[in-house]
Amino acid sequence: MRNLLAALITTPAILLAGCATTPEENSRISTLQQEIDNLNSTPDGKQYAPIAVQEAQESLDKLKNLSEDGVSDEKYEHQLYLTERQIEIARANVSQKQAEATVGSAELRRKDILLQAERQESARARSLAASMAGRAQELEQQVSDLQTEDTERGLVLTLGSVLFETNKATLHTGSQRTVEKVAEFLNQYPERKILIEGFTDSRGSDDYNQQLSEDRAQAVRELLVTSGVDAQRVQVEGYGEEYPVASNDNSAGRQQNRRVEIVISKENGADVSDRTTMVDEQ
Amino acid sequence: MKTFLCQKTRSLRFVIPFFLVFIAACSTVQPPATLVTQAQERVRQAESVGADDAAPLVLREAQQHLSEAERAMQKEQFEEARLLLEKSLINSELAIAQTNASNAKKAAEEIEKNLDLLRREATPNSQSNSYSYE
Repeated sequence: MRNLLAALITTPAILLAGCATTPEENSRISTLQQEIDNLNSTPDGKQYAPIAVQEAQESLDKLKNLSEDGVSDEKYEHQLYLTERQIEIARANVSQKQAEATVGSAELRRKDILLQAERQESARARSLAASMAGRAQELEQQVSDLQTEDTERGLVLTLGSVLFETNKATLHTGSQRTVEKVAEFLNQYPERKILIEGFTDSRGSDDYNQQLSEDRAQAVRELLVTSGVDAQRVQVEGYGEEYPVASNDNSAGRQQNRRVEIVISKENGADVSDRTTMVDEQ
Repeated sequence: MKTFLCQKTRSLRFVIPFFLVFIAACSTVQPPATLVTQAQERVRQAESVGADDAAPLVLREAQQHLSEAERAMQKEQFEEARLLLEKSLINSELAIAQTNASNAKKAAEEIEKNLDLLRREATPNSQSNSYSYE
Protein backbone atom coordinates (compact mmCIF):
# COMPACT_ATOMS: atom_id res chain seq x y z
CA MET A 1 0.00 0.00 0.00
CA ARG A 2 2.76 2.40 0.92
CA ASN A 3 4.69 1.40 -2.20
CA LEU A 4 1.66 1.99 -4.32
CA LEU A 5 1.20 5.44 -2.84
CA ALA A 6 4.84 6.27 -3.49
CA ALA A 7 4.49 5.03 -7.04
CA LEU A 8 1.38 7.12 -7.56
CA ILE A 9 3.19 10.24 -6.41
CA THR A 10 6.53 9.72 -8.13
CA THR A 11 5.22 8.57 -11.50
CA PRO A 12 3.50 11.87 -12.40
CA ALA A 13 6.56 13.70 -11.11
CA ILE A 14 8.83 11.76 -13.45
CA LEU A 15 6.40 12.27 -16.31
CA LEU A 16 6.28 16.00 -15.63
CA ALA A 17 10.04 16.19 -15.46
CA GLY A 18 10.27 14.34 -18.75
CA CYS A 19 7.88 16.74 -20.44
CA ALA A 20 8.96 20.05 -18.96
CA THR A 21 11.96 22.06 -20.07
CA THR A 22 14.94 21.62 -17.79
CA PRO A 23 16.64 24.71 -16.32
CA GLU A 24 19.81 23.95 -18.29
CA GLU A 25 17.86 23.86 -21.51
CA ASN A 26 16.21 27.15 -20.66
CA SER A 27 19.45 28.90 -19.91
CA ARG A 28 21.09 27.46 -23.04
CA ILE A 29 18.18 28.65 -25.16
CA SER A 30 18.13 32.11 -23.64
CA THR A 31 21.88 32.42 -24.21
CA LEU A 32 21.42 31.55 -27.88
CA GLN A 33 18.49 33.96 -28.11
CA GLN A 34 20.74 36.63 -26.62
CA GLU A 35 23.36 35.96 -29.27
CA ILE A 36 20.81 36.29 -32.04
CA ASP A 37 19.38 39.45 -30.47
CA ASN A 38 22.87 40.91 -30.38
CA LEU A 39 23.29 40.21 -34.07
CA ASN A 40 19.88 41.71 -34.73
CA SER A 41 20.35 44.81 -32.62
CA THR A 42 23.55 45.91 -34.36
CA PRO A 43 22.96 47.77 -37.59
CA ASP A 44 25.55 45.51 -39.22
CA GLY A 45 23.65 42.34 -38.38
CA LYS A 46 20.43 43.65 -39.89
CA GLN A 47 22.13 45.24 -42.85
CA TYR A 48 24.74 42.64 -43.70
CA ALA A 49 23.29 39.23 -42.87
CA PRO A 50 19.51 39.49 -42.58
CA ILE A 51 18.88 36.02 -44.03
CA ALA A 52 21.48 34.18 -41.97
CA VAL A 53 20.24 35.85 -38.79
CA GLN A 54 16.67 34.97 -39.72
CA GLU A 55 17.66 31.34 -40.34
CA ALA A 56 19.40 31.22 -36.98
CA GLN A 57 16.22 32.52 -35.34
CA GLU A 58 14.11 29.91 -37.11
CA SER A 59 16.50 27.21 -36.03
CA LEU A 60 16.31 28.42 -32.45
CA ASP A 61 12.50 28.58 -32.61
CA LYS A 62 12.52 24.93 -33.64
CA LEU A 63 14.75 24.17 -30.67
CA LYS A 64 12.36 25.99 -28.34
CA ASN A 65 9.45 23.93 -29.65
CA LEU A 66 11.38 20.71 -29.24
CA SER A 67 12.27 21.74 -25.71
CA GLU A 68 8.64 22.44 -24.84
CA ASP A 69 7.45 19.22 -26.45
CA GLY A 70 9.94 17.31 -24.34
CA VAL A 71 11.34 15.28 -27.23
CA SER A 72 14.23 12.91 -26.93
CA ASP A 73 17.60 14.25 -25.91
CA GLU A 74 19.06 13.19 -29.22
CA LYS A 75 16.70 15.35 -31.26
CA TYR A 76 17.13 18.28 -28.92
CA GLU A 77 20.92 18.02 -28.98
CA HIS A 78 20.87 17.79 -32.75
CA GLN A 79 18.80 20.95 -33.11
CA LEU A 80 21.00 22.70 -30.56
CA TYR A 81 24.05 21.80 -32.65
CA LEU A 82 22.42 23.12 -35.81
CA THR A 83 21.34 26.34 -34.10
CA GLU A 84 24.79 27.04 -32.73
CA ARG A 85 26.32 26.51 -36.16
CA GLN A 86 23.65 28.69 -37.75
CA ILE A 87 24.51 31.55 -35.41
CA GLU A 88 28.18 31.15 -36.25
CA ILE A 89 27.31 31.29 -39.94
CA ALA A 90 25.40 34.53 -39.34
CA ARG A 91 28.41 35.97 -37.54
CA ALA A 92 30.76 34.95 -40.34
CA ASN A 93 28.39 36.52 -42.87
CA VAL A 94 28.34 39.78 -40.94
CA SER A 95 32.13 40.02 -40.74
CA GLN A 96 32.40 39.06 -44.41
CA LYS A 97 30.02 41.83 -45.42
CA GLN A 98 31.75 44.34 -43.15
CA ALA A 99 35.10 43.55 -44.74
CA GLU A 100 33.55 43.72 -48.20
CA ALA A 101 32.12 47.13 -47.36
CA THR A 102 35.62 48.27 -46.43
CA VAL A 103 36.94 47.00 -49.74
CA GLY A 104 34.03 48.57 -51.58
CA SER A 105 34.56 51.98 -50.02
CA ALA A 106 38.31 51.92 -50.68
CA GLU A 107 38.14 53.82 -53.95
CA LEU A 108 35.98 56.51 -52.37
CA ARG A 109 38.32 56.80 -49.40
CA ARG A 110 41.35 56.93 -51.67
CA LYS A 111 39.82 59.85 -53.52
CA ASP A 112 38.92 61.48 -50.22
CA ILE A 113 42.52 61.28 -49.02
CA LEU A 114 43.79 62.76 -52.26
CA LEU A 115 41.20 65.52 -52.12
CA GLN A 116 42.10 66.29 -48.52
CA ALA A 117 45.77 66.30 -49.40
CA GLU A 118 45.07 68.68 -52.25
CA ARG A 119 43.11 70.93 -49.91
CA GLN A 120 45.92 70.88 -47.36
CA GLU A 121 48.45 71.57 -50.08
CA SER A 122 46.48 74.57 -51.26
CA ALA A 123 45.99 75.73 -47.66
CA ARG A 124 49.73 75.54 -47.25
CA ALA A 125 50.25 77.36 -50.53
CA ARG A 126 47.77 80.02 -49.41
CA SER A 127 49.44 80.52 -46.04
CA LEU A 128 52.79 80.61 -47.79
CA ALA A 129 51.46 83.21 -50.19
CA ALA A 130 49.97 85.18 -47.31
CA SER A 131 53.20 85.15 -45.33
CA MET A 132 55.10 86.14 -48.45
CA ALA A 133 52.65 88.96 -49.07
CA GLY A 134 53.07 90.02 -45.43
CA ARG A 135 56.84 89.99 -45.80
CA ALA A 136 56.61 92.02 -49.00
CA GLN A 137 54.38 94.56 -47.26
CA GLU A 138 56.83 94.77 -44.38
CA LEU A 139 59.71 95.43 -46.75
CA GLU A 140 57.67 97.98 -48.62
CA GLN A 141 56.84 99.71 -45.34
CA GLN A 142 60.49 99.82 -44.37
CA VAL A 143 61.44 101.27 -47.71
CA SER A 144 58.75 103.93 -47.58
CA ASP A 145 59.76 104.80 -43.99
CA LEU A 146 63.27 105.37 -45.19
CA GLN A 147 62.27 107.00 -48.46
CA THR A 148 65.17 105.59 -50.41
CA GLU A 149 65.97 106.97 -53.79
CA ASP A 150 68.50 105.63 -56.23
CA THR A 151 70.45 108.60 -57.60
CA GLU A 152 73.69 109.06 -59.55
CA ARG A 153 75.54 109.80 -56.33
CA GLY A 154 74.25 106.66 -54.70
CA LEU A 155 71.35 105.42 -52.71
CA VAL A 156 69.80 108.34 -50.84
CA LEU A 157 67.78 107.86 -47.66
CA THR A 158 65.83 110.90 -46.63
CA LEU A 159 64.92 111.36 -42.98
CA GLY A 160 62.18 113.93 -42.60
CA SER A 161 62.28 116.79 -40.14
CA VAL A 162 59.74 115.00 -37.99
CA LEU A 163 62.70 113.11 -36.62
CA PHE A 164 63.95 116.24 -34.83
CA GLU A 165 62.53 118.46 -32.18
CA THR A 166 61.96 121.99 -33.46
CA ASN A 167 65.12 124.11 -33.54
CA LYS A 168 67.04 121.30 -31.89
CA ALA A 169 69.45 118.67 -33.10
CA THR A 170 68.14 116.01 -30.73
CA LEU A 171 66.15 113.18 -32.18
CA HIS A 172 62.68 112.25 -30.97
CA THR A 173 62.94 109.05 -28.97
CA GLY A 174 60.51 107.44 -31.40
CA SER A 175 62.79 108.40 -34.26
CA GLN A 176 65.75 106.61 -32.79
CA ARG A 177 64.25 103.30 -33.81
CA THR A 178 64.08 104.55 -37.37
CA VAL A 179 67.75 105.48 -37.32
CA GLU A 180 68.61 102.10 -35.86
CA LYS A 181 66.81 100.57 -38.76
CA VAL A 182 68.92 102.72 -41.08
CA ALA A 183 72.01 101.44 -39.28
CA GLU A 184 70.91 97.85 -39.92
CA PHE A 185 70.39 98.76 -43.51
CA LEU A 186 73.85 100.39 -43.78
CA ASN A 187 75.50 97.40 -42.15
CA GLN A 188 74.30 95.30 -45.05
CA TYR A 189 76.74 97.32 -47.18
CA PRO A 190 79.80 97.48 -44.88
CA GLU A 191 82.22 98.51 -47.68
CA ARG A 192 80.23 101.55 -48.77
CA LYS A 193 81.07 105.05 -47.58
CA ILE A 194 78.31 107.16 -46.16
CA LEU A 195 77.68 110.89 -46.34
CA ILE A 196 75.14 112.45 -44.02
CA GLU A 197 73.79 115.78 -45.22
CA GLY A 198 71.71 118.18 -43.11
CA PHE A 199 69.27 120.74 -44.50
CA THR A 200 66.93 123.34 -43.03
CA ASP A 201 64.14 125.51 -44.33
CA SER A 202 64.66 129.21 -45.12
CA ARG A 203 63.40 130.61 -41.84
CA GLY A 204 66.06 131.97 -39.46
CA SER A 205 69.52 133.30 -40.20
CA ASP A 206 71.89 131.54 -42.58
CA ASP A 207 74.46 130.98 -39.86
CA TYR A 208 71.90 129.50 -37.52
CA ASN A 209 70.56 127.26 -40.23
CA GLN A 210 74.03 126.19 -41.28
CA GLN A 211 74.89 125.24 -37.71
CA LEU A 212 71.55 123.51 -37.16
CA SER A 213 71.93 121.46 -40.34
CA GLU A 214 75.43 120.36 -39.34
CA ASP A 215 74.32 119.55 -35.79
CA ARG A 216 71.44 117.44 -37.07
CA ALA A 217 73.63 115.53 -39.48
CA GLN A 218 76.10 115.02 -36.66
CA ALA A 219 73.36 113.76 -34.32
CA VAL A 220 72.31 111.16 -36.88
CA ARG A 221 75.93 110.14 -37.39
CA GLU A 222 76.42 109.59 -33.68
CA LEU A 223 73.31 107.50 -33.41
CA LEU A 224 74.38 105.44 -36.41
CA VAL A 225 77.80 104.86 -34.88
CA THR A 226 76.29 103.75 -31.57
CA SER A 227 74.05 101.43 -33.61
CA GLY A 228 77.13 99.70 -34.97
CA VAL A 229 78.01 101.62 -38.14
CA ASP A 230 81.78 102.07 -38.46
CA ALA A 231 82.61 105.74 -37.73
CA GLN A 232 85.32 105.70 -40.42
CA ARG A 233 82.66 105.20 -43.07
CA VAL A 234 80.56 108.16 -42.15
CA GLN A 235 81.15 111.79 -43.22
CA VAL A 236 78.96 114.72 -42.30
CA GLU A 237 77.99 117.85 -44.26
CA GLY A 238 75.67 120.73 -43.35
CA TYR A 239 74.05 122.76 -46.11
CA GLY A 240 71.77 125.06 -44.12
CA GLU A 241 68.85 126.23 -46.23
CA GLU A 242 70.54 125.37 -49.53
CA TYR A 243 69.26 122.72 -51.91
CA PRO A 244 65.59 122.97 -51.00
CA VAL A 245 63.49 120.10 -52.35
CA ALA A 246 60.26 122.07 -52.08
CA SER A 247 58.99 125.64 -51.80
CA ASN A 248 59.76 127.54 -48.60
CA ASP A 249 56.61 129.64 -49.07
CA ASN A 250 54.32 127.19 -47.26
CA SER A 251 54.66 125.02 -44.18
CA ALA A 252 54.30 121.75 -46.08
CA GLY A 253 57.17 122.69 -48.37
CA ARG A 254 59.27 123.92 -45.47
CA GLN A 255 58.71 120.62 -43.69
CA GLN A 256 60.04 118.76 -46.72
CA ASN A 257 63.11 120.99 -46.79
CA ARG A 258 63.94 120.34 -43.12
CA ARG A 259 65.63 117.03 -43.56
CA VAL A 260 68.67 114.82 -43.25
CA GLU A 261 69.76 112.79 -46.24
CA ILE A 262 71.98 109.76 -45.97
CA VAL A 263 73.82 109.00 -49.17
CA ILE A 264 75.41 105.60 -49.62
CA SER A 265 78.21 105.42 -52.15
CA LYS A 266 77.65 103.46 -55.31
CA GLU A 267 80.92 101.61 -55.21
CA ASN A 268 82.77 99.90 -52.39
CA GLY A 269 85.38 102.18 -50.79
CA ALA A 270 84.64 105.23 -52.98
CA ASP A 271 83.70 108.48 -51.27
CA VAL A 272 80.27 109.85 -51.92
CA SER A 273 80.75 112.56 -54.55
CA ASP A 274 80.30 116.08 -53.28
CA ARG A 275 76.98 117.72 -53.81
CA THR A 276 78.52 120.92 -55.21
CA THR A 277 80.47 119.10 -57.91
CA MET A 278 77.35 117.23 -58.86
CA VAL A 279 75.49 120.47 -59.25
CA ASP A 280 78.36 121.87 -61.34
CA GLU A 281 78.30 118.81 -63.53
CA GLN A 282 74.61 119.17 -64.01
CA MET B 1 -3.31 -0.90 -47.64
CA LYS B 2 -5.87 1.87 -47.82
CA THR B 3 -8.54 -0.41 -49.17
CA PHE B 4 -7.70 -2.92 -46.52
CA LEU B 5 -8.20 -0.37 -43.77
CA CYS B 6 -11.34 0.89 -45.41
CA GLN B 7 -12.81 -2.50 -45.45
CA LYS B 8 -11.87 -3.08 -41.88
CA THR B 9 -13.26 0.09 -40.33
CA ARG B 10 -15.70 1.17 -43.05
CA SER B 11 -15.07 4.74 -42.14
CA LEU B 12 -12.81 7.18 -43.94
CA ARG B 13 -12.64 9.47 -40.90
CA PHE B 14 -10.58 6.87 -39.07
CA VAL B 15 -8.57 5.78 -42.04
CA ILE B 16 -7.01 9.11 -42.97
CA PRO B 17 -5.23 9.82 -39.66
CA PHE B 18 -3.88 6.31 -39.57
CA PHE B 19 -2.67 6.63 -43.10
CA LEU B 20 -0.90 9.93 -42.38
CA VAL B 21 0.82 8.49 -39.34
CA PHE B 22 1.95 5.55 -41.44
CA ILE B 23 3.35 7.85 -44.18
CA ALA B 24 5.16 9.98 -41.62
CA ALA B 25 6.71 6.94 -40.02
CA CYS B 26 7.75 5.58 -43.37
CA SER B 27 9.32 8.82 -44.60
CA THR B 28 11.78 8.95 -41.71
CA VAL B 29 13.21 5.61 -42.55
CA GLN B 30 13.55 6.34 -46.27
CA PRO B 31 17.21 6.58 -47.25
CA PRO B 32 17.97 10.33 -47.42
CA ALA B 33 19.54 10.08 -50.87
CA THR B 34 19.07 13.73 -51.84
CA LEU B 35 20.59 14.83 -48.57
CA VAL B 36 23.64 12.66 -49.23
CA THR B 37 24.21 14.28 -52.61
CA GLN B 38 23.72 17.73 -51.14
CA ALA B 39 26.15 17.06 -48.30
CA GLN B 40 28.75 15.66 -50.68
CA GLU B 41 28.41 18.66 -52.98
CA ARG B 42 28.71 21.10 -50.08
CA VAL B 43 31.87 19.50 -48.76
CA ARG B 44 33.36 19.66 -52.24
CA GLN B 45 32.31 23.31 -52.53
CA ALA B 46 33.88 24.14 -49.16
CA GLU B 47 37.11 22.44 -50.26
CA SER B 48 37.13 24.31 -53.55
CA VAL B 49 36.78 27.78 -51.94
CA GLY B 50 39.80 27.04 -49.75
CA ALA B 51 38.17 26.15 -46.44
CA ASP B 52 41.11 23.83 -45.89
CA ASP B 53 43.19 26.92 -45.09
CA ALA B 54 40.62 29.29 -43.62
CA ALA B 55 38.37 26.93 -41.64
CA PRO B 56 40.17 23.55 -41.43
CA LEU B 57 38.49 22.33 -38.23
CA VAL B 58 34.95 23.05 -39.37
CA LEU B 59 35.66 21.50 -42.75
CA ARG B 60 36.99 18.39 -41.08
CA GLU B 61 33.83 18.10 -39.03
CA ALA B 62 31.79 18.33 -42.21
CA GLN B 63 33.90 15.61 -43.84
CA GLN B 64 33.74 13.36 -40.79
CA HIS B 65 29.96 13.73 -40.45
CA LEU B 66 29.61 12.90 -44.12
CA SER B 67 31.67 9.72 -43.93
CA GLU B 68 29.86 8.68 -40.75
CA ALA B 69 26.56 9.28 -42.53
CA GLU B 70 27.70 7.16 -45.47
CA ARG B 71 28.60 4.35 -43.08
CA ALA B 72 25.20 4.67 -41.40
CA MET B 73 23.56 4.52 -44.81
CA GLN B 74 25.31 1.22 -45.53
CA LYS B 75 23.98 -0.12 -42.27
CA GLU B 76 20.58 1.22 -43.28
CA GLN B 77 20.47 3.42 -40.19
CA PHE B 78 18.72 6.13 -42.16
CA GLU B 79 17.53 8.29 -39.27
CA GLU B 80 21.05 8.35 -37.88
CA ALA B 81 22.38 9.12 -41.36
CA ARG B 82 19.94 12.02 -41.80
CA LEU B 83 21.09 13.74 -38.61
CA LEU B 84 24.74 13.27 -39.57
CA LEU B 85 24.09 14.65 -43.03
CA GLU B 86 22.39 17.71 -41.57
CA LYS B 87 25.40 18.25 -39.35
CA SER B 88 27.75 17.80 -42.28
CA LEU B 89 25.74 20.27 -44.33
CA ILE B 90 25.67 22.97 -41.69
CA ASN B 91 29.40 22.55 -41.08
CA SER B 92 30.11 22.88 -44.79
CA GLU B 93 28.00 26.05 -44.83
CA LEU B 94 29.89 27.39 -41.85
CA ALA B 95 33.26 26.50 -43.41
CA ILE B 96 32.28 28.33 -46.59
CA ALA B 97 31.01 31.36 -44.65
CA GLN B 98 34.17 31.53 -42.55
CA THR B 99 36.37 31.14 -45.62
CA ASN B 100 34.53 33.94 -47.40
CA ALA B 101 34.80 36.13 -44.31
CA SER B 102 38.51 35.39 -44.00
CA ASN B 103 39.15 36.21 -47.65
CA ALA B 104 37.18 39.46 -47.38
CA LYS B 105 39.05 40.39 -44.21
CA LYS B 106 42.40 39.79 -45.89
CA ALA B 107 41.39 42.02 -48.78
CA ALA B 108 40.12 44.69 -46.38
CA GLU B 109 43.36 44.60 -44.40
CA GLU B 110 45.41 45.03 -47.53
CA ILE B 111 43.22 47.93 -48.60
CA GLU B 112 43.60 49.56 -45.19
CA LYS B 113 47.35 49.19 -45.42
CA ASN B 114 47.42 50.77 -48.85
CA LEU B 115 45.16 53.61 -47.76
CA ASP B 116 47.36 54.22 -44.75
CA LEU B 117 50.41 54.37 -46.97
CA LEU B 118 48.67 56.77 -49.32
CA ARG B 119 47.51 58.93 -46.41
CA ARG B 120 51.05 59.15 -45.07
CA GLU B 121 52.43 60.06 -48.47
CA ALA B 122 49.75 62.61 -49.14
CA THR B 123 49.91 64.47 -45.85
CA PRO B 124 52.19 67.50 -45.52
CA ASN B 125 53.93 66.05 -42.47
CA SER B 126 55.94 63.76 -44.67
CA GLN B 127 59.32 64.87 -45.97
CA SER B 128 58.41 64.05 -49.50
CA ASN B 129 57.02 67.49 -50.30
CA SER B 130 58.91 69.45 -52.88
CA TYR B 131 58.52 73.05 -51.78
CA SER B 132 61.59 75.17 -52.16
CA TYR B 133 61.95 78.56 -50.57
CA GLU B 134 64.60 80.00 -52.87
